[in-house]
Amino acid sequence: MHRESAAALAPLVKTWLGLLALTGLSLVLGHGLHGQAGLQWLVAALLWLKGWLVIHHFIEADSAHPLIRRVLYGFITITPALLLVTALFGRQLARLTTL
Amino acid sequence: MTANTMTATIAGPGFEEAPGGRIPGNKGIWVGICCEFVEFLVLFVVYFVARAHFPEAFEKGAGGLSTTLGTVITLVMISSSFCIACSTALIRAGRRRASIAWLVGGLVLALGYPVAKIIEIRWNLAHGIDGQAGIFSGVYYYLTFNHMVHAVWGILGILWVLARHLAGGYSADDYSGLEALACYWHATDIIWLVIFSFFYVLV
Repeated sequence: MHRESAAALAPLVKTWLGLLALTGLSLVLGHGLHGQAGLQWLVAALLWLKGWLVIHHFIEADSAHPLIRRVLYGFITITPALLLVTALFGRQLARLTTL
Repeated sequence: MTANTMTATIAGPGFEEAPGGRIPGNKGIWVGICCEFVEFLVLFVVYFVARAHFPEAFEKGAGGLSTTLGTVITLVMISSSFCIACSTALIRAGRRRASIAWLVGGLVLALGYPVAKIIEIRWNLAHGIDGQAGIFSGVYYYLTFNHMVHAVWGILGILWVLARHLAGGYSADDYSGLEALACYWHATDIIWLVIFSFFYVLV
């Protein structure tokens, strides 16, 4: 393989291995901390980290237009945040959304 | 490398420049990705509202799904996304044949998604998890079927881009079509990572 190509692929390989490791870790934590309050926080943190890896290394968002950066980082921040809101304020959310 | 110098390095004649930064792929694909994100955000809100109303149903329901098949789909999505990112990096380096090979790898892995999904649905039905098994299964099928539809569009996109790549449609100077497909597939990958966490990890 050309040295230039290998250099271009190295960060992608590291990102891929990181994503595999985080997937394994999230499964271990999901089973190990079943039903415990801290699980949602850990899942939210791992979810954000996996999303960040894809956005930063695969999409190369840091060189993209600010609007694209905001859309991508916004999406991977809002979804874990909604998980924490439901974990912390589930009853209030249920009350607010009762017809 | 700073974002500005990276922009100058990556941007070529086939790319759309905008004040403040480059547009990976093309503008059209980002309109599609934004619509995809909005659609799934709405579906995630439905998931959270349902979860807030029926926390026990969601805890019990997630335990009934096949974690193995959910993990297989995750590995397939992450790995095909990786292959397509490599394909983009290699065409940028001028290595067309290697880029095509990685794109074929990405396609083969991506085809594992519908296969794993069909096996999962059969497994679910054999275990009594159908669309009428309760609030959890309703939300689960609605979200995962929607995602599979987006993944099938992505697979069709990979096929189209592969055909163009084989016909010499992309070069180190112009690979915006390949990059647009890559961005769509990475976005679809991110959405699956969210679905995986919500349905298979939070058990």
